[in-house]
Amino acid sequence: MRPLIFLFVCLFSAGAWATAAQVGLARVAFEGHGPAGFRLEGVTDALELRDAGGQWVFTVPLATLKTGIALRDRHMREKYLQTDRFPQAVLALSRDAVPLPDEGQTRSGTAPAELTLHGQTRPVQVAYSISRSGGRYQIAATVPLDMGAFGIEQPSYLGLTVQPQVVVNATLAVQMSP
Amino acid sequence: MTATTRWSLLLWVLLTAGSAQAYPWMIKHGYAACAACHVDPSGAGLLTPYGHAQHELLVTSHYGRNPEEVDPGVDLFNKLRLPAWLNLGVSTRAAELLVHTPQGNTSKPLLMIADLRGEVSAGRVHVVATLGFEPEGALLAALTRNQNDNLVSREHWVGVDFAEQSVLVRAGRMNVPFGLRNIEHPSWIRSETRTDLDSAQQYGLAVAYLRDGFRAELMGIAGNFQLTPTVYREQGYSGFAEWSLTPTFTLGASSLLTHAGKDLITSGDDTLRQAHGVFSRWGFGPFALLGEADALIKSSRGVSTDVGFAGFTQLDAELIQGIHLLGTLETLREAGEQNYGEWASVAFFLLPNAELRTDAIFRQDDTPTGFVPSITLLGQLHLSI
Repeated sequence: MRPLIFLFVCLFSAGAWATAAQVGLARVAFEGHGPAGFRLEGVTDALELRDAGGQWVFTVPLATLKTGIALRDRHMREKYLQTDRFPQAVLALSRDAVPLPDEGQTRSGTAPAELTLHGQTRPVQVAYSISRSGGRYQIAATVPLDMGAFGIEQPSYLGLTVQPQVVVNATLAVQMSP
Repeated sequence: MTATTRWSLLLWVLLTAGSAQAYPWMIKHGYAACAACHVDPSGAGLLTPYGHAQHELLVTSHYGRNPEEVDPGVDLFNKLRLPAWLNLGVSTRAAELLVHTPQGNTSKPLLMIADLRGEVSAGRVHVVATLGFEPEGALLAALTRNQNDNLVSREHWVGVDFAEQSVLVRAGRMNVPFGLRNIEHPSWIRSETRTDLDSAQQYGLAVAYLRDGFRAELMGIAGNFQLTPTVYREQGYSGFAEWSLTPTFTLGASSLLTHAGKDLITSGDDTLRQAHGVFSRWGFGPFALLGEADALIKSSRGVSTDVGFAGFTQLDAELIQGIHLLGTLETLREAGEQNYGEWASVAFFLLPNAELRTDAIFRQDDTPTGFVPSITLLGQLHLSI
């Protein structure tokens, strides 16, 4: 009986996903645009991946985002993202929505997810590319979003207004363990 | 060209040229495009209100203050609280010039620039003009016709923007779009292409296109209407395109072609002048590396075509905010002569409206009797609002 139970557990585990654990440095960056070719990028390497049952949950502490200008970072934290009230952005993605590639292969696609930002949860589409090498998965993902949909005020400073549409790019590596 | 002629030209350029705010090393802050901070879409000159704030946040010394606590409102400009349709600026640059050559030394104080700059906007229409005073020189920008003490206007144009300011069409007198828009106006890439920011502006029609990761401007040159006799006026085109491969690395290409009945410098008849080149900006940490290389082609009636070259590379190091150490190498080949120059410069942005700068320029001029050295020292105090 015991061997049968062990085999059942092994088969079940193989049929679903193994537990994902983040390895190495991650990078999350949002990109915004303004008039006359203005471009703005905010970057952090603080990305946490949690394997929660049937979901991958990505969490970014928003206060760690840096745009290259200290005062702009302060405005972003205090006036727009209001990180004292809403410290994190959380993206929840069903593991079933993202088929993993075989060893040495790359798989790309889009998957629905839920993003919680500024205290509001909205559906978003995640465009991803996953490469597998040596049991490690290198993931690159892009999420376009509209700040207005999350109740974030459109950033504007001394006549320069940033468009509400921004693109979030993330890269990270994960290791699967049974 | 003789050494005396070249020193005279350098002195002439330094004496006659004003200056402007143009800092291509802002690339290290991710500012590949210029139009967010400058009224001129290709950079330099009058700042926008946003540009004033960035000047104080990113350019001026903070003296250990927490950068998050720096308030751009300290800038005198932002205290003026001008209406949204009006933008004004004042730029004055006083200098002491020392030139050492084997033939002797020259020393004199200079008022390099004393300009009032203004922009009036009504919706998508922008009117920009500068008015200044030049005790000597700057005749290419002079409105009055005195030997000295002239009123000058380097820029005056009308522009209309389209498509969320990604397109700006301008007509009038404006900076010639070509290569790096660097402040070192006597550098050979600027003086030999005649695209410096000081008095080399031309009248014409220009279209600038600005999108994320790409900027370009093309100008049809109608001539410098402040230059007489008219036979010296150049007609043709000039333009550039620059791509941002990363937020802090760009590659660009420029092209210029003009024709004049008589060349302003050589007096050659039916002079066709061309410059075609590439340029790049790269910011990494506290450093910025700038480079430009231009082919120079000039032909006049009865004179064989001269194919020359101007090259420039500059490393800017800002280990402490507001203090820039700059090293520049440049070369110029024309009329079969190969010339070399090295610059060592220090710029100290001590206050939001004040900059101190010192340049030591070492040049080796190729002459029929061999290389002849010269040393130029220039100390400047730039006050701007």
